[in-house]
Amino acid sequence: MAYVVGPSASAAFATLTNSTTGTTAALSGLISIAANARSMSFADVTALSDTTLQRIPVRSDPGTVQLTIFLEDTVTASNLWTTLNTRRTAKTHTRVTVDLPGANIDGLLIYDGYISEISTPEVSASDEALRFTVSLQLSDKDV
Amino acid sequence: MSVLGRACRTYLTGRTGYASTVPGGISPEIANVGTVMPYVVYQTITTQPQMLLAGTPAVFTERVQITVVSTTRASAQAVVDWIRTQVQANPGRQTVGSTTVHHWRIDDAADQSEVVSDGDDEATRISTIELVGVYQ
Repeated sequence: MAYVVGPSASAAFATLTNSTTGTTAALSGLISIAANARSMSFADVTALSDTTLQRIPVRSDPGTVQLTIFLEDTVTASNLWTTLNTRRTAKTHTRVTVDLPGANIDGLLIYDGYISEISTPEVSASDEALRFTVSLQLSDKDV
Repeated sequence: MSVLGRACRTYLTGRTGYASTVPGGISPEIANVGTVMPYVVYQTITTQPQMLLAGTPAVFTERVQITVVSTTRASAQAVVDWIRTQVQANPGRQTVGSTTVHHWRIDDAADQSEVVSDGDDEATRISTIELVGVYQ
C-alpha cells in the first residue's frame, strides 16, 4: 500500500451554487493546507437520578481550514489575495478542492464554506517570501 | 555553481571602480595561478529553497562566501569595503543577468593570513565576507 506525501499536491477553488461548482481557478503560490478538525457537540441529558453524567452527540461541526499562500507580484486588482478577499466580503460560497498525489484519494479533501478571514502578509526584514493566510469556515449551506 | 555569487559577479563587474579595485577579477571557487592580486573568489555555503506545495521552489535563499586575496591587509580591506558599498547601493529587487535578486546583504566578515608555499616569502592577506540573498 502506497503512502502519500504533501509535495506535488495542488488546490483549486470555485463558486458553489446549489451544490454546483462554477469555473475552477488554481490556488497558485500555495504553501500549505492546515489540518481541518471536524467535531461533534454533545448535549447533556443527565437525569437527576443518574449517578454518571450522560451526554449524547447532537450536532456535527465541520470546522475551519486554513491555507497559506505566497503573495505574488501581480496587479493588485486581479491578484489572488484580492480575489479571495472579495469572496470574503461578498460572502461567496466557495469550494476548495485539494488534488493530492496518488490516484485513489482525490475526493478526500473537498472543503465547502465561506472565507471567514484573510490576513495581509507580515512584512519584515527576514529572508522569507511574503505569505498570507486564508481561513475557510466550512458549511454546506448557501447564503 | 553559486547562482547568487554569479549574479553578484555580474553586478560588480558593471560597477564603477571594478577594474581598479579588483584587478585580478572575480572567479568561482578558485583563481588561476599567477592571478594579479587583489582578486576575489566565491563559493556557495548553503542554498535553501522556499517550497511551494506543488513541489517546486518559489525562491531560494543562498549564502555565498566571498574571499578577497591580496598582498596587504589594507588593500584586502579596501576590496571588502568596495564590495560592501556596491551591494548596499542596491540591496533590493533587481534583475541581474537572468536572475531576479529579491534582496542581498553582506553578513559575516573575517580576516586571516596565509603563507603561500611557493617559495615566496610574502604572506597573502585574506578577507572573507558572506553574501546572503534571496533569488529566483
